[in-house]
Amino acid sequence: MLKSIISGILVMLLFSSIAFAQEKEEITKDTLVYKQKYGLRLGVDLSKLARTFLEDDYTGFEIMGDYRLTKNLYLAGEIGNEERTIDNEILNNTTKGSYFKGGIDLNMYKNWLDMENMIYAGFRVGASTFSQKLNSYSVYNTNNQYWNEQVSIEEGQEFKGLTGIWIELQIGLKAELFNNLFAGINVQLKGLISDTEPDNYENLYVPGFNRTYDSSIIGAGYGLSLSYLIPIFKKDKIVVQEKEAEE
Amino acid sequence: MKRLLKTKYHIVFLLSSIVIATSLSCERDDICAESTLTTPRLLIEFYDATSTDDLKNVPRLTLYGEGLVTDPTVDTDTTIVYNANANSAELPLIIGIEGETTTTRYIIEKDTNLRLDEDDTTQSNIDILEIAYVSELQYVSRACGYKSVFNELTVIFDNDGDTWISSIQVIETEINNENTVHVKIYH
Repeated sequence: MLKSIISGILVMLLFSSIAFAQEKEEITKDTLVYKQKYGLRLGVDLSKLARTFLEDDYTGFEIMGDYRLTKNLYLAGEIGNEERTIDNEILNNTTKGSYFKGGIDLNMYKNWLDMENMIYAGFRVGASTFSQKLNSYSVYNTNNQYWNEQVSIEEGQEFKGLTGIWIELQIGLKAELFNNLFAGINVQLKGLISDTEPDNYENLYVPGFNRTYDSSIIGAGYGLSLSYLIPIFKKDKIVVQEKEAEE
Repeated sequence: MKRLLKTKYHIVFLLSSIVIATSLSCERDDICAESTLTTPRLLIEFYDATSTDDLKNVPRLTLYGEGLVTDPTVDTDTTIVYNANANSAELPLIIGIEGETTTTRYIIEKDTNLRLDEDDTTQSNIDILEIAYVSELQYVSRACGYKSVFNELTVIFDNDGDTWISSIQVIETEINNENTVHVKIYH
């Protein structure tokens, strides 16, 4: 008895919905207002922390921050400290120093509703001051087996007061995991503008820029971040939606 | 749904960029190419003492570092030239200590066949080449490290009263490549 009543109601609902659908539709505009949080977002680079623990030849730390200027434009920057040892067959070198990067992030992602995720392109100018210590090196000599002579210099030589300036393009995303907590990932393409060349040596690594290449001025990097948004004020995001409305 | 697909595309793009960025870190910079000019050898050429512009073969020349072998009877890695008619040779130099005068000595033996044969009445003629210079270490690249160049080159030969070398002329006092001959030996 009860079953037949329920099925009867369902059938009626079904028909009524079809009946509604068949009615003439008209498009109207609906204006929605969402509150958008503006403020300072501060975070740390997780990949550098992880490498500090996992890799013997790397110690690094980076704090990043951005400040939202307009709907899609952020003032952004990173500050960090790195120590990296490069060890190959022929030389062993430790680079130590700090860096600062400043620039903008441009959000290219159209968010749904009140979400505040980012897929962004960033532009930075970076500067670093550092020192390099050539711990040991060998003299490359393809004929050294003749005199059975392997020239290795063990005494360290330190090059201090080195600087480097570069420009950087970032592409990345930041997603809100929980309220105000963001996870981010980005890739960085860099171009070294200038660096102080040590006498009779070269900069193998520039903190913030990462390793250099003999054949080009291009550098690369990546970042994995966890950041927290400190909301300072809120702004309305007005979304005009086209909505189907029945007459 | 469309937007979700777009986001997926973005993520794929990001991940592939990371892969490219990390693969960049292992390229040709990390291998010292064989064509790279590193520590040069000393290039010597033998000229005719009477007609000084003409190269002249040294008959049955044997050339080796002093102290590495004595009176070699077979061709090994130690003999730079062994029992051959030659008018040039490339000599590896001992690098030694940077900034200090280092000496490398080579035995140059003429008419080696006379020593090797059964006849004891004829012998080869051995002269000793003494090469002195100051090493200087120069940075090449991260993969090749440093090389040594040699400055203030002087070359003398011991005068034992029975020398086949008549004179030595140092053409380049700074040896930093193997493009030109550094020392001419007249005989």
